[in-house]
Amino acid sequence: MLAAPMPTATLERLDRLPPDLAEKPFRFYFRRDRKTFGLGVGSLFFTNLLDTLTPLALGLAIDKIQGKDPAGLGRAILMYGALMIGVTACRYLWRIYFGRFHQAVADDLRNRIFAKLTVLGPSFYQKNPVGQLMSLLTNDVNSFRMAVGPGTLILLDAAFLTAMILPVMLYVSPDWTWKTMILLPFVPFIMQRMEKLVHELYRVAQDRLSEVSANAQEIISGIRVIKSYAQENNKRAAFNTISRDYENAQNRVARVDAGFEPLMDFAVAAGGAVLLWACSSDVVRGQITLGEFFMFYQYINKMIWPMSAIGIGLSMVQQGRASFDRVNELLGTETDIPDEGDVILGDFEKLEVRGLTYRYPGGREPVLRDIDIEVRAGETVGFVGPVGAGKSTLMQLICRLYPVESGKILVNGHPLETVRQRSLRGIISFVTQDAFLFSDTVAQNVSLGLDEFPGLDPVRDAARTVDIDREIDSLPDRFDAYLGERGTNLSGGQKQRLTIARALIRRSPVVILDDSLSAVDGKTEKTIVRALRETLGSRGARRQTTILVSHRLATLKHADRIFVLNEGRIEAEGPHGRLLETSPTYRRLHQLQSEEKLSAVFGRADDASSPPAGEETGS
Amino acid sequence: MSESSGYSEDSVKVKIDPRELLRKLWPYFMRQKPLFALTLAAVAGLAVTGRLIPTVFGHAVDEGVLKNRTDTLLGMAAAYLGLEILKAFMMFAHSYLFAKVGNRVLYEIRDELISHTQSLPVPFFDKNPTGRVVTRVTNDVVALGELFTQGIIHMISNFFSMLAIVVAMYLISPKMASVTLLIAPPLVYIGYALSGRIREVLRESKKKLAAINAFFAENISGMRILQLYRRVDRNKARFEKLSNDYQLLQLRQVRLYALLWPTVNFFNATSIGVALWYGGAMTANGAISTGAMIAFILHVQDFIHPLRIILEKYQLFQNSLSGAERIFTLLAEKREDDAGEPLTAALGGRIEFRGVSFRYGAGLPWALDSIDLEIRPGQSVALVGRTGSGKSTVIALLQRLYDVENGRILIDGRPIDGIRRDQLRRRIGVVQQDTFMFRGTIAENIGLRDPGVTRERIAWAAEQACCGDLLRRRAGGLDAKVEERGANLSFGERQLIAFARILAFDPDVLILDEATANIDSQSEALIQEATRHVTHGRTSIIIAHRISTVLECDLIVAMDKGRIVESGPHRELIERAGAYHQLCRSQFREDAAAGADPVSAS
Repeated sequence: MLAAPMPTATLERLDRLPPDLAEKPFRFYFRRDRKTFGLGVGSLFFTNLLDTLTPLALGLAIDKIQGKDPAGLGRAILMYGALMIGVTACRYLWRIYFGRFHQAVADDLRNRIFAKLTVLGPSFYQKNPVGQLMSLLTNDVNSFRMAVGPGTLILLDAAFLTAMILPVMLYVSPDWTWKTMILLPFVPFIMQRMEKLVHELYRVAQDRLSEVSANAQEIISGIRVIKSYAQENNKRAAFNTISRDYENAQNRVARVDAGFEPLMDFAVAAGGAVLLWACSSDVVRGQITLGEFFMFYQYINKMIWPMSAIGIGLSMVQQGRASFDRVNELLGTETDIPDEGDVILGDFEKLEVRGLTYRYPGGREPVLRDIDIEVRAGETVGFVGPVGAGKSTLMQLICRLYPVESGKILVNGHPLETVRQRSLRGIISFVTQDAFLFSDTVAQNVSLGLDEFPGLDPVRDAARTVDIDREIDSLPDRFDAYLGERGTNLSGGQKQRLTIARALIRRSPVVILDDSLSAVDGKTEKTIVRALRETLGSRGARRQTTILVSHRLATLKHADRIFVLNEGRIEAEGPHGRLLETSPTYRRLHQLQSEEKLSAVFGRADDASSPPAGEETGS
Repeated sequence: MSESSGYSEDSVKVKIDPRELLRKLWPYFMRQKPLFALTLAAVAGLAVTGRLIPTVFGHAVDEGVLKNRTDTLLGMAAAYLGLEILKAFMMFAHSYLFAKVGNRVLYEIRDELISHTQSLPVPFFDKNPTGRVVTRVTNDVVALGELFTQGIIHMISNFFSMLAIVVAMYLISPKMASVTLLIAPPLVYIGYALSGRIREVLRESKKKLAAINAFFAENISGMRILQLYRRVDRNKARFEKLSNDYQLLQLRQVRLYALLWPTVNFFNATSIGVALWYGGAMTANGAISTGAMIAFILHVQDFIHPLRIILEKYQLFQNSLSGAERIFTLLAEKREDDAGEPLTAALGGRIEFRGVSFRYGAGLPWALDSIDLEIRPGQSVALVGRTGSGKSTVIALLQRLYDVENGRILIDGRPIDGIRRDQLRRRIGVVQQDTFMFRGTIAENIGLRDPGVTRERIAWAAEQACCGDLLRRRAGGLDAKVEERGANLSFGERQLIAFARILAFDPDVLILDEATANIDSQSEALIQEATRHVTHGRTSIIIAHRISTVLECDLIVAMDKGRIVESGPHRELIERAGAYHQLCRSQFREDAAAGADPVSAS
């Protein structure tokens, strides 16, 4: 059997969201990476345990010093050293394991986001601007990682330490414990209130900042007006008023923010003063040793961290949850163009559009109504009509970028939804209106749609067909020239021609050019159209099908049939000559673009001295 | 796609290291002297109280615990509490005061940025997208602020804390302090070496993250192409590779941190062990008291926190310099010079171009090539020609947005490079194709809140510019709100307001870049009437896109490839049936193809 192995079930489809991830994201990752996570928690536990024991060793050492017992002191110091070695090793381990754990979580989430985005169609991207999706990938993934990793860690740390230190303290002296720790339970409470306050003030400051930003934006976009009217000082003063407001808002944030640390520190450290006061009676009664006293003091100081950690950890987890909700919303989005068909198309035979009516999601009026079209292999078909007639929408529906809702689109008799997308997109090469190129070399951009780089010759051939090869050769690195912001910037017309080359190199049976020559001047356009006919026609037995969408009638003149679209309907159909007779819209377009009309205007030059019609009312 | 596909950082010309940054910021801080001095006082106070607390504790041990004296202990408890309160206060004061100083410094930097930016020559704005410049004024300044409040202040205060700790240790026992501090040099060295490596990894991972972001952003924008061209799976694999690379770097960072902090902690523990052992011996022979030794150990224990903060913040510092670099790069951009004589009287309006040549950069083709042109006062001139023929350049040179390379431009016989730019521009009014509107009211958009433009003049200008209808349609009339960029006004209405603005400021020469956009016929008629009002009796240069405009002008200048190919009155040129005739036909035909109907305008 030569059949390629089917993808096995073990290969997880990342664009599908597992239900337990959607519902309990923390638990999902704890369970998925239970080994690293478990080892991390284990090492953390032992770190805390050993760390909790160190004051015991220190207290013992003090007692030995006090008891003038050098041998005992030596043993106590060795004990302390051994504990510290253990702490160091365990600390190293939890850092490594926790690090591995949460970095893997971030990686997984990033890949899921990207995978999801690859199956979503244009209707999704119209609603979700790039900036928002970027923020999902950077801010939200990071904030969830911080929650699942450091946030969880901090909370566990606090819980372990509290659970270990408190019993020891109680063991030494229940009386001292309650007296010194009495303020502590209020700490997380106060922290949270302060945090809320800071958050509110911070939001106000952010609003002020957006105003600063909006104002700067306006000054810079309006710089030409400002300069022309010499308004610089005026604008600067207005900017500074807003900038000052922002400064004041920032100061208010700082005032609360600066209170955090001292307050927390004080709540715990006041325990030290309490200890000095509380112990006095016990000391007088001689019930404690100096070592115990010192040890207890050390434990009080050790409680500072767990108390503040609870607040920090909780807010990290909260933020991470909110972030995950946003990520989850994306991951849970169902694509409107699922790739569920399994028909693999053979040679292209025909394309049919039957009774197609389409309205954009959320749109009120249909953009296409009752469209019926048939395109047979080998035909060249044109579409023309005013802006907003629905031409592009129709082309995008044919390529299944949007789902068909009412009516049918069939290729070789198969409805689009039943066709495997890979197969459909192998048959059709669609050159979209916006000439989108990637930041990569010219050659890589042209060969984007091939499964592997074909070598330079086919790339050059394709470039020659669209008459751009000489222009590319004049670039410093020729076909290796890098495009994009950091590289060469091409003109609009050059970009359009490259996108056509990108389609042609695939040699797919159907090519759709959606107004792809608009930025190319008339003469070059003629050359390209002729070259297209010649190269496409010379493909032996295979019959090339071309669908052209254009504003310019000159482009479409030689098509076998032209469809005139207006307000979502097909108004007329036929070759150029017949449309001139039958379609008023077509005729009007033709008139507008014809030379005779312009000549008529210039002919009026003879009586230019008299004002043109409609201007008599002028002064 | 090739590996080098990456994120484009703005070019940074001013390189800054931490010391250089402090040097640049110093003058700003010096302007806040009293507040800054107070901050430093709080820093010092914090360092001192921080050391007094263990000292009091040691004293309490010696005088209270060991001598079984309740009254002393109570006194010590009070002192301890007092010191804790003082410390908390100092902590609050130093961060709050420094934030206040910092926020004022940031305010001043923003002010400097905006006023500097406004003085930059127009070509700067051609090269730098608005968003990028705005980011300088906002995000980069915010990042600098974080450097202050979360970086610099902590480095300063923790440095003083460490210093105070060392002093406190020496005060207890110089010998014991010296022995204990023997551990310090290797500790500092390891900390420094490791954090150097961490910094490198941080820098690397920042780059990787930027690469992920750039790849992600581009792929989202081009997702449709990837789907149509069956490129999705390969790019998914590439993304996973990028993400994984980043993860590996992050793990390297994790490993370095896992080495750094436990090691630092361990060194600290070692020094505590040394202090115990050595201090034990010293206590035994009575060289120091037990309380002093306990205080000593507490000092040593406190050493680690400031050290850690300093190491941490130093890394942050290093990695947040890029924002500062971008800010100072912008501030180093050259301002437009304001050389030249002021204008004392109104311009007469005679404009001459004498053999003017200009290009937008050395090595680029000539945008204007030996232009000779004379415009008489009060004349209206239409410039026609294809995109890129040099029409806009003529206008830009006349406003002194750029300076000519060869030849000269004269106004009323005076070379314009001898006239101050701001005054020249004030006398030459321009109406752009897409006119810019500010947030505010219609009146503010006409008078630009200039104190020299009265309300009466604004009302008169609005009337002259045919704004009557548009004001009547809106509640508030002249005080009706204008949203950002005039989003609540139609294209035609924005044009009319721009005409009113011109009339309010009454320039001597008018430049009009005629709009190509589709405007409904009613506004079209209004605009034509307003155009007649503003051009009336004024020297006017119009980049014409409509035949009707061409027909009304006194002189037509046809341009092609930076040269004047023909000039004269319309009729004469048409009769000649030369270059202008052809040019016109093709230009207006293109407009027709784009959906506009040039003829209906007349």
